[in-house]
Amino acid sequence: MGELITFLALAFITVVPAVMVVGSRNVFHAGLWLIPTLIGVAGFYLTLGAEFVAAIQVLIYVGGIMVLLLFAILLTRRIGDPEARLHNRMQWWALLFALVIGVILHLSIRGQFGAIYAAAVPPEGTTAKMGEALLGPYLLPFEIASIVLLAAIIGAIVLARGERQ
Amino acid sequence: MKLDFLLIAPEIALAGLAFLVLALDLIFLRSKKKGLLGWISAAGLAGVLVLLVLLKDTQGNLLRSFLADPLAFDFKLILLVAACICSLASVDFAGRHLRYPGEFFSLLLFSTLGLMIMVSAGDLILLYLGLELGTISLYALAAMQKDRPRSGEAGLKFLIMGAVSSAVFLYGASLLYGSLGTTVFADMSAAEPAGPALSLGLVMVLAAFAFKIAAVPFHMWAPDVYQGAPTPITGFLSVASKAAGFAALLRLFMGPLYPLMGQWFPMLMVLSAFSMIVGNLLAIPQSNIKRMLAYSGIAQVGYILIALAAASERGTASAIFFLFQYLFTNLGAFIVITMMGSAHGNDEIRSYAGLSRRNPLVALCMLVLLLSLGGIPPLAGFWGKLFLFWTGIEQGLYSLVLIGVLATVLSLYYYLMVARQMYIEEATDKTPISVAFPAAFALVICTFFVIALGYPKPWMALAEAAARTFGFPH
Repeated sequence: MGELITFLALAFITVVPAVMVVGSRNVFHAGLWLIPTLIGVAGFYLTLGAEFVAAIQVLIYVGGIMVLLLFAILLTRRIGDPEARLHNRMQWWALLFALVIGVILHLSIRGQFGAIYAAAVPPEGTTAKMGEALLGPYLLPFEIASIVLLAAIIGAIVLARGERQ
Repeated sequence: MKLDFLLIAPEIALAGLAFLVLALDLIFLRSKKKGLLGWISAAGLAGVLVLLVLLKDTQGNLLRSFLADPLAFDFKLILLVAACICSLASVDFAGRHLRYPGEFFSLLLFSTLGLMIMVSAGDLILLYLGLELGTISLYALAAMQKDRPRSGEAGLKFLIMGAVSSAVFLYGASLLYGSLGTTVFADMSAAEPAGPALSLGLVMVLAAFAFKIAAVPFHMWAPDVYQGAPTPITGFLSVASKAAGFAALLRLFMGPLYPLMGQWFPMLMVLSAFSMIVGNLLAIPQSNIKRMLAYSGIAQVGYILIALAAASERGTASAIFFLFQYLFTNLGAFIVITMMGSAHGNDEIRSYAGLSRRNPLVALCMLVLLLSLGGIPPLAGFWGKLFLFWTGIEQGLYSLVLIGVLATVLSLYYYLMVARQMYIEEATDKTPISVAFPAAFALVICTFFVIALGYPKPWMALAEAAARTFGFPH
């Protein structure tokens, strides 16, 4: 029972602000609404016994990426303008489409996993295990992720930079 | 934990090459010899290619997630040759049209690296990272030609559609993981009857890769991106990115998801039929040659999907053979378009009028490439299509093969329209067109192989070795 209440509370914290992110008329507000969503996701990690990932989620996403995102919004001329239009005529179609996809996902996941619940996770440290996994079986993805970031940074700089004199 | 780094040596060498090009760009920053970087990356890629061939017999897996097998070998051959030819074709282009040639070549190398990891991936996580490295680099490359607004538009459209398809893939992959309990392909054991979440995961993964290979109805990004991106990148995109998408599809659908054939077979049939019909019909009215080849590429995807629907050893082999010949044929055509685009400043088909008198060699090469795209014997394209249709008939896919044959006949019309412009129409401007040496060299290589693949046996042997990886019949 307690598990269900926790889940519903976290789901509320995650989903309602997520709807506001998409629905806000002001892009700065949309950015701010993202914060509770990300905190809600951190809560889910906690209930799954991944407290290290939860802490990282708060530090990196809420602390770092959100600040960067809000700075980017403020510093970009046309996007920071509160009068800028964020919605187009397709918004109701988009809502309908999202609802249909949501219903399909719900039905199929419930149809297959409806009777299966995750076993209660014993409270034990996951940090060391994660470190071992990252440098053990997941060594290649771990290394390649750094190259992905490098390529993304190079691409972003080239596109954002003005013309060379 | 003992790692055999020889298995991943070509990838490590390629990553080193990309860093080298990036560093050399800093050193040469003040000089005007930007074309040199193109030569360096082409030579480096040729070196990596040699390394790959030398290590052909070093097979196995790294941490169960990175596979060095004949299938990966064939696709890496395609990717490295595509990147090498594309670098050669870009030497002159980069100097003329790009502000940041160093970043251009290093991103091209990073993209190749990502696609190489993708074709070697035996694990959903590694597959995703390879896919992202390959495509994130391509988003930036597509938007890089800053003197044309269309290039920026192409980059943005590609980014949005690519991000959506990546999200769909991730959702599908998480459903596969939830249903099968592992991300490693070799450990997956899917079996009928599949639960609804597994089926949905399968549909989402298929849809995501249908985006990547631009199969109808997931093709709408292709014409705009192909038209807007810098032409050498369009060539790379149409060959390498597509080949990597097919490699991932083969690995998943001929491997762990093969037992669910009853579910994916009808979807592949629909994708194949619609791609052939829509691609060919929409190619006819195009006046821009890059858009025309985008639709022609969609049609070619439809032909290859016949072989995937056939789901047999010969089917897999003929799909890989088709990609071999498509590599040279399509890349060659895009080299000609790069040359003509530099000469005219546009990519309209009517600009090709009288090319046979303005530059006979380029016109002749383009004619050979167009005939191969149309499937005229004895060129490479003919054998590619013959093997595909043959395997289709063998597996009783008569309706798809019928559509394919009719579509091929139809496609000759728009390929030959370009040939008619080159050979029959009179040019308004009769001055000869001169072309840069590296691009001409790359074009001659492509044309040579299009003719050489008229003897398909050695290439088919390579493709068959790859097809045996799956151990048909299951």
